[in-house]
Parts: sequence; C-alpha cells; structure tokens
Amino acid sequence: MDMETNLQRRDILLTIPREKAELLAFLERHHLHPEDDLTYATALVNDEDEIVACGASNGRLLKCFAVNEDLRGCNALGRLVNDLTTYCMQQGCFNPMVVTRTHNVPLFENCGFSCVAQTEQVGLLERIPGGAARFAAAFRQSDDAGKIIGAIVMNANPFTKGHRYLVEQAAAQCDVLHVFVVEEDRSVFPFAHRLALVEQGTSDLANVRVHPGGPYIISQATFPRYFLKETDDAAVMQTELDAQVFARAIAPALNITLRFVGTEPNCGLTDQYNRSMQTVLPQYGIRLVEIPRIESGEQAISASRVRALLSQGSSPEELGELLPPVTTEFLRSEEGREIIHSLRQTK
Amino acid sequence: MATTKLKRTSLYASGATPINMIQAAFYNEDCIVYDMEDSVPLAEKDSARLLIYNTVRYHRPANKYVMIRVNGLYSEFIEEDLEAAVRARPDAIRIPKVEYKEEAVRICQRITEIEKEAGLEPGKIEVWCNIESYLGMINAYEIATADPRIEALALGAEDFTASMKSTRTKAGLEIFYARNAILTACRQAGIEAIDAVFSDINDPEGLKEDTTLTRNLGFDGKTCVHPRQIDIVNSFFTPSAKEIKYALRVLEAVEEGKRLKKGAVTLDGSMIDKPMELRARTTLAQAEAAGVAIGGNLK
Amino acid sequence: MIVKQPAVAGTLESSDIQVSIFPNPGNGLDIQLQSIAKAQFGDSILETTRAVLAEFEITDAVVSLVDKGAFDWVIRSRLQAACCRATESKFNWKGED
Repeated sequence: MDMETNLQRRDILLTIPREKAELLAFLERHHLHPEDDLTYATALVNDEDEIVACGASNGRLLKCFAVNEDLRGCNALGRLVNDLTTYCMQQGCFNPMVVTRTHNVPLFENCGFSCVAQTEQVGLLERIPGGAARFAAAFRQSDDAGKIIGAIVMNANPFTKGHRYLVEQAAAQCDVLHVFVVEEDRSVFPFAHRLALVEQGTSDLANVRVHPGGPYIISQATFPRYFLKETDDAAVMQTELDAQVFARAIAPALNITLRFVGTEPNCGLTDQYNRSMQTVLPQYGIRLVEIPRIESGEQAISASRVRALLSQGSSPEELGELLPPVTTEFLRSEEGREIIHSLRQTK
Repeated sequence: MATTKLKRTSLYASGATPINMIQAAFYNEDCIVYDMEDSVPLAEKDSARLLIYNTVRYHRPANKYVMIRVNGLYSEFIEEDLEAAVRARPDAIRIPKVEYKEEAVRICQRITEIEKEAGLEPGKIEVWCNIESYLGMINAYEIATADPRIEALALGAEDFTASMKSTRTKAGLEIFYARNAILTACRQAGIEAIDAVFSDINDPEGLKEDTTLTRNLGFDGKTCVHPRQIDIVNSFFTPSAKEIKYALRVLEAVEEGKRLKKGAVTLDGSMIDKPMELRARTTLAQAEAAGVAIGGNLK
Repeated sequence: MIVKQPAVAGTLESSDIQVSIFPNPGNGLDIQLQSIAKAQFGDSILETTRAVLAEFEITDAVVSLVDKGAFDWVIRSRLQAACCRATESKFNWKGED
C-alpha cells in the first residue's frame, strides 16, 4: 500500500550473463567490487525495472549491499537483508553473518543482526544474538574453573611436525589447550581431514581439546573485500577483526588467557596476523605467546613448504622430517593420493 | 459485525504485510478483504493465516464489512485456512476460482461444521464466490443458489480472460458478456453482483469510464486494486442529490396515483412505468445505505 | 514443546516485528529485544513474548525480536508463526474456541 515508493523485489539470476552484468554495473556505480563466490543476489527495482538497491550472498555471508542515495530511509536495506537471510536459512545456514564498515554496523543492527566485534574500521555481525559466545561455551567443561586456559588457531593444511611442536609447547604451558581448526573448504586439504589429522596427531596430549573453528575465525578466505578501497590494507583489517572476535566473543566464554602463535619470519601475512594479535589481545587481558618454529634443513617447517614439496613430486615418505606419522599415513591413503594428485595438477 | 450493508467497494489487504492490513482499514472502502491467497507467497501462508486470524478476531476494523479470502479449493492450505477464517468470525469468507455448484456446497458445509465445533451461530458467516473462469461463468446461477450463505458473486477478470484466451483491455469488451452473465445469475438468485477491478491505478479517467459501465450494467459494487480508486468508485454508487430528488418525486407520484386509484401515473408529462419505479427505489436504497440524507419519508 | 529447528517469522518492514527462534537445549530462555520503541513498549513486548512461549510450552530457546513498531496482535501473530515453525507443529485453532 505504499503509494510513493513502489519498489518491487527482483532476484538477479547470476547464471544469466545480462542480469549479472546489470548487477555488476550497479555495484560499480557504488564503487563496489564483488567477489566471485556469490551464489544469490536480489534487488529492488523501480517502475522502470531499474535496480535501485541490491544485496548478495554466498550462503553464509550477506554482502554487496548498495542502496541508491534517494532511497535512504525507505527500509530498502531491511527488505534486502530479509530476503538474503531467508536465502541463507534455506541453504542450511541459520546464522548468516555480515562484515561491514564500522559506521554501517548500526544499520545492520536495525535489521536484526548483533555485533560480534568491531575494529575501528570493520565489524562482524551475526543473526543469532550471542551466537559466538554460545558456540564457544559448548567447549567448556565443568571443572575448567581456576585453570590456566590457552588457545591456538590453525589451518593445518596439512598437519605438520611444526604444528605438533607448537601444540606440545603450548600444552606444556597451560592446564587446558583449545585448538581451533579453521573451518572452510578453500584449502587443498578438506576441513574434515584437517580436523581429523589434528585430533589424531594430538590425541596423546591429555589436556588438548580440538574443535572446529566455526564461523568465528575471520580468515583471508572469509573476509569480504567488495567494499574495500585501494587505500585500505585488507590484511590489517582482516587480522584485527579476527583478533577482536577472538578476544571479545570466544576467549571470555572459555576463560582463555593465553593465545599461542608460531613465529613466521618468511610470511608477511602471518607476521601481520601476529602483530594484530599483539595489538588487540592484551587490551582484553590475553597474553600472546610466540613460539619459534622448529626447523628442518635450516628452514622452518610449514604446511606451505609441505604442499610445495608434494606438488614438486616428493613422496609422503620423503617428507618424514616434516610430517608426523598420522599425516604421512593419510597421504598414502586413496584420498591422500588424490589430494597429492590435484596438487600436482594445479602446480 | 458490519454496521453497513453497503458493498460498493472491496479493497484487498495482503496478509503478508501488517502495514498493508493496518492502513487498509483507514480508507473509505465498504468491504475490506484480508487476503490469504494471491498476495501471500507460499512460504508465508502460515504466518499470514495467523496475522489475519488475530486481526479479524481481536482487532477488526469498525464500520466495515470484513472478509477473508482463503486459498484455492484444491490447494493444500484450504482446510487450515477455513479453520482459521471461520474462527476469526468475519462477515464473509471469499472463495477464489469457484467453478461448480458442488464446490460452493462443499465449502459451505465445511464452514457449518467448523461453526458448530467452535460454538458459533451457524449460518452467520456469508460467502462470496469469485467467478474467475468461463466455467464459473457458465455455472454462475447454480453457484449463486448453491447455499443460503452465498451473498455475492464477484467477477475476477484477469483469470477469466486468461481462461478465455482473450486479451484484457481497458474498454473491457472481452468481459462484457461475462459481466452480464454473472449479473443475470445474481439478479435471479437475489444476491449481490460485484464487478471486476480496473487494473491501471494511474488512470482515474479510465476508472471513471469503467465504473460508469459497472454501474449502468447494474452491479452492486466493484473490487478496487488500490486505495486511490475507492472514493471514485464509491461516488458512482452513491446517488447524487438530483437523482435522489427525482426518485423521491417518482415515488411520490406513484403513491399519489395509488391514493387516487389512477391506472396510469404521469410525472412531468411522461408516464411512470414499473421499471422507473424499481429504479427509483434502488436509488433511494443506495442513498440510504450510503448514509445520504434523503429528506423523504418513503419506504 | 522442543525447538527442533531455527525459525523466523515476520519482516523488518514498518509496523512488523521479526521474530527468530533458535534451539537452546538445557539453557532456558534467552530473549533479546531490539525495538524502535523499546523504552515505551519494551516491557509489554517481552510480556507478550513470554506469554506466547508459555502457550507453546517452550522452555529452552534463544529468541531474537526486532521490532519495527508492531501492534500487540501483530507481535502475537509473528510469535505464534515462529513457534509453530520452530517446533514443527500446527497451530491449535481450537485452542481459543
């Protein structure tokens, strides 16, 4: 019945090149550059069928929001968020998230999202209020009170002797060590295998608990870039947000006071990651403990080195210096061989 | 229940949007139709049903004839729609796409059963049947007389023209026969006839032309697609002061003729026949229902 | 009744309220309200919410309410719809006869 703004919803069918081009052109006018992982997009159109507002999703994150200036205050964003949230829920993701510039956080709070954490530049919101704390609390045990509790986040792509060493060193410094394995399937080694290898490779350490990282680890892969400007440093924004989410939402629920990271002098991104942690965590009473990587042949043992060697033709047996037995064994299995094969294909 | 018997204008309000339902009560339509059918997406049928139930049962607009349009007879929603709609206690339930007498009979029986279960006065809820296909039009009289509950037939022109393979035009020649067929059935059944919508909400002149035809054909009212159509349509079904004055004079002359036991009555030099008398009575009935002061004393 | 699955009812449009219900097994009711009229109507919205949850005998759930100025009966309707969806049950129409 609204007489003045007669906006119709129109889904943008991304499989139709003409429609996708229309969406991209609209985003371009708003200086937004979408990633290629969009699975759904929807828009509001005027009487002339022109896009005047749009939003998109990859099934877990809502993104690529753009609303024409003259529509501000018409709740266009609310309608888009509504449709996109419904889409995510139909895809089985009941707690879709939004990463947005901090000044836009209240806009999404008005649409039913709750802020998990924010930095000066960006914020993370989720659909289930307190979802992050509830996620973490599930890993709490009744006798945790009064204990020294630490955490590690790792991708383990795949699990190496370097990871094993890091876990051992950290576990020795606390009563309980939570190990979160990054949960996203953009790595060469699928999440289920990475998690299983970390679990098996640390099962002898009684005080280590291995968990899926859930949606609360803001990795390079999950951090949306559509709203970035050329002057933005994506790595700083992503790693600071990740540190904030950990410190504000995950750590308090588990009383984590120690966060362990491996030093990585050769990788700029990991270095930035550690620097962001160092900036953020102490503000929340969490101490960052850097543990030097162990070396083999004067090079730090790292998963990227393992992947490089595998893709260059090394056999799992030849990597015995770098890999714990569980990983070597997995690489010999049929699934492991397939992964090595695909590594060599994409080299 | 409704405090007006007028059915000049019906306005649909989608059960999918509360703002729509709330605002619809503030316009001048005689009949408000809370819609569970076409305006509600499949995934929201359950929530619309609850919203309409709570609105009609506990917060129905005053001074309106309140209707609920349920989903199609063969849809998976109809049974629960009826459970909710009857218990909401509207003035009428509007049934889409009725084509056979048996369909109307079945729905009316089901309404009676639910009324009994819920401890409501049986037969109080009226039924409007939307005639939206050539089949419905052919069977219009049978449908109109299927049950005493049936209070009106309403022509749905978009679906009707689709069933006929016709093109819907503003002039409406393609529905001219259907309008007459439905009107004829209603007159013989003694129930109300409601005309189809005029779809272009931005063409008030077109609406006036179309409503002139609606009225001249003899319909009792018209469905509106947008609030801005309501006042225009109402005006066509509300007699003007000149018409009322003339009708009063016609009936006065007739009464005078009876008193004087005259065989033929004349007014202003012309003879007053039976149809003129009937039209005059209709004019006054419309005026009375619309709350227009008649200034006479005639029944 | 048990909240079997997350469910949402209502929209973010003016005069509506969006109700989301999520499972919260063993952890009671956690009701979060955000409203454009929280100061004025917050308590009454929460009261309606608790009443409807009680009618559905829901004791464990996270409930998020985003109110855009909805009337009480709209709030009630959205809660009922969300509860039915979350518990995978049909509304008891005979309940108010």
